[in-house]
Amino acid sequence: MSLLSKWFGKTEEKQCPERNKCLDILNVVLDGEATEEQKIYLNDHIDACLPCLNDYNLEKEIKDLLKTKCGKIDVPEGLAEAIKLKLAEKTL
Amino acid sequence: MSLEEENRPKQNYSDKEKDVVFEKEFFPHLNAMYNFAHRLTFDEDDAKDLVQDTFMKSYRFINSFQQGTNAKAWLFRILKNSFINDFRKKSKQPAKVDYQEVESYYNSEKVDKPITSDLRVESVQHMIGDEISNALNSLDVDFRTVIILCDLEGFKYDEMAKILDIPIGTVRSRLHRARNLLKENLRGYANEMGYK
Repeated sequence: MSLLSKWFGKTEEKQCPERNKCLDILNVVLDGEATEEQKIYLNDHIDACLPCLNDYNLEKEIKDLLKTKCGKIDVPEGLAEAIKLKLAEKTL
Repeated sequence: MSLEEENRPKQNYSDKEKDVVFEKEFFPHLNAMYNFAHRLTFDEDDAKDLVQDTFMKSYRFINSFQQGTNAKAWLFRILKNSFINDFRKKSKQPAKVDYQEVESYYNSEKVDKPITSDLRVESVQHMIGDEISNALNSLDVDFRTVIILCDLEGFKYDEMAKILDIPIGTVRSRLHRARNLLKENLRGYANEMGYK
């Protein structure tokens, strides 16, 4: 394997030694719950660690897809009215 | 903790105030609640029943709700409890999963080990809604729930902890495992689609 493909080739051949910790932090960052310290750690880390940058992009993509592609299910017609009717009967 | 036993000051709304709270703070969440109920039950009629039950309970226990606090989280908590306590008993849904058993299984190294090394952003980007939705729906209900609450509904960890009656640390670890399992499902689809 050439040096270039070693560096820029398949990411699965390289692993971040702290991958679980990084996955945890990057999810906390993506969920908007990170401390300043965690944000700085992640920013610095993914500048230097390609596998974790890939993880970050993947997690972000999945999160965005969940939000945009798991479309809203329409409320069946008549449900709102049925609830209000039942409530009115109960509270009479 | 039941709704009546909640450790918060009880309100004493007049009938008119109750109607206002219901109309202005509860009812606007109908859509989100129906979506949550449908993603728990996978059935239109069951989801309708669950939402209806939840609204009836919310009215009955309205004095436990403090105006200006998070109505959506409060309603989701009632819905989740109704699903577990009332609904799952009488439905054809599988028996309640033992959280601890599930969690200790998923705590094992096998599952905690990162499993996504061959799932790539490009393969996920080609997925359409069906694959994402199916991958989510095939998760066990407890794992599905945390992803729905966090990623679809945008609840914060502390709100999820209250809705699910679990510590924030458990919310985080359950989310971590749920996401690993979701990625495993997505990897299956990616392989079927010929991506690596």
